[in-house]
Amino acid sequence: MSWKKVCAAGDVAEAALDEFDIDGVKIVVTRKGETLFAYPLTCPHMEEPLSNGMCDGESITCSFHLWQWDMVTGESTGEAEIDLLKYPVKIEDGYLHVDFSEILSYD
Amino acid sequence: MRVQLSARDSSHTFECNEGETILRAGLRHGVGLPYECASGTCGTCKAALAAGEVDEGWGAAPGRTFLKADGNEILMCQAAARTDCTLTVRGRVRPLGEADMVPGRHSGVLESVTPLNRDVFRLDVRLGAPIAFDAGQFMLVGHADFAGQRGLSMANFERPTDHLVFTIKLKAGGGLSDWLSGRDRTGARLDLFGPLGSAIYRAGEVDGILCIAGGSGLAPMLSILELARSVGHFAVHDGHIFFGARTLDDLYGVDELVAVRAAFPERVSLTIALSEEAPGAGPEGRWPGVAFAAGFVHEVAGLAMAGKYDGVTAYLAGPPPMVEGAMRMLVSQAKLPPTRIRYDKFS
Repeated sequence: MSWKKVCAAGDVAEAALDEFDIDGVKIVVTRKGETLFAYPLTCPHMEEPLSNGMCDGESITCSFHLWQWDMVTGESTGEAEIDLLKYPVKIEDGYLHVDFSEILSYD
Repeated sequence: MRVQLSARDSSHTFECNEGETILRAGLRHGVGLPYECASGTCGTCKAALAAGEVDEGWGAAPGRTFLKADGNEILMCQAAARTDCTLTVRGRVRPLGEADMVPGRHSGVLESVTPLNRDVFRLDVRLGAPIAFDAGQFMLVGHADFAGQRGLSMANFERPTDHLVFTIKLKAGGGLSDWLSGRDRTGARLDLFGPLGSAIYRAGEVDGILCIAGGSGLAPMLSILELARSVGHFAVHDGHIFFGARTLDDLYGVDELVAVRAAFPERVSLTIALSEEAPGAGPEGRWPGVAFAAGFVHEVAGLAMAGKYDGVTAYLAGPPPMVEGAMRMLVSQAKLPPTRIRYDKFS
C-alpha cells in the first residue's frame, strides 16, 4: 500500500479546492461535511488545475470550459464528457491520508 | 491531404487543402471539431499528432501554452497538414447537426469604416454571396496584406444576408488593427471564414436572456438582441442587459440597446457599468431608461441579478478577465448550471 499523509484534516475547509503536491503527484482536496475527497489536480479536459475552479458544496466546476461534476461521486453533471477519478482517502490521527498505490491519469 | 481523427466517442476522416488549417478543413466538412477562438489564443482546439507532418502556423500563438511540453500536440486552428495525418483529441467530436451552420470561406468588400468612439470602429462588409449565420456568431477576418486573422462577431442579424456588420476595437500591434489604421481601406477585399461560435441565440428559445458584455463584446449581443426583438422574445420573456466599459467615452452601441429596451420596457432592463468613472447625472438624461453603475460589469450584474435567475440563459462576451469573472459569479453565486451559460473567449 502506499498511503501518504497529506495535511491536517481540519485544515480542509468546506468546499475548498486545495492543491497539494505529494512526492510529485498533484491532487486537489475538498470537503463536504465530515467527508474529504481527493482528485487528480487537473481537469480531464484540458488539464487546467481544478484548484482554479469552483466548488459550491455540491459540485466542482472547472473555470476553463465549465465542465462540472458531483463533488461526492466525481460524476459529470452537465457538459463534462469525462468523469473525475477519485483517490481513496482516510483520516487517521486527525490527518488526511491518500492512497497513491495507483496514480490516476486520464490519458 | 487526408486527416484521420479519433475522438473520445468517434472517428472522422476529411480532406485538407494545401495550406488550409485542419480546424477549417474539418468544420468545412461538417466535423464538429472543438474550438473557441479559432485564432490561436484559447487552446481549445489542441490535438495530439500521432502520425504525419504539419506546418504548425503561428509560432507565437498564445494557445501554445496549453500544449504539452514534450511534444507532439498541435493547435488545429494553426496547423496545416503537409502529409496525411492521424490526430487524437480528448473530448467528443460529433458531426455538425442539421441546424448548425457549416462554416466556409467567403470573400467580401469592406464598404465602410465608421468611428463609433475614440478606438472602436464599425465595419460594413458586403459578401459576394449571401450566407446564413446564428445570432452571436463570429467570422475570421483577414486580408492578403497581413498575416493571421482576427475573430470578429457580427453585430447585426438577418438571414440570409450578404451584409455583415462588425465592430472592432483598434489595438496597436494587431494585424487587422494596424492595417485599418494605416489608411482608408474602403473597397478592400477581405478574406473571411465562418460563421463560427456556439454562444448563440435561436428564435424559439424560451429562456430569459441575460447579456453581460464588456468592451468589444457588445457586438454579438447586438446581434442576439436584434433577433430576439424581431421575434418578440421580450413580449414573453425577460431581458437583462449589462454593458461594461471603462468610461463614458468608451461606450458605443448604446442607442441600439436603448431601442431594444424601449420596445419592451416592461420586460427589458438595461444597465451600463463604468469601471473607471463615477457616472454623473448627465448620462441618464441622454439615454432614458438606462441605469448606470460604477464597477466591473460582472460584479454589477451579480448584485442586480440576485434572485432573478429562474429560467435565465446567460450570454457572456468581452475581455477574458470579464468573461471569467462572470463565469465564476454565475456558477458560484448564482448556481446557474453551465448548460445555461454561453460564451466565446477571445483575447
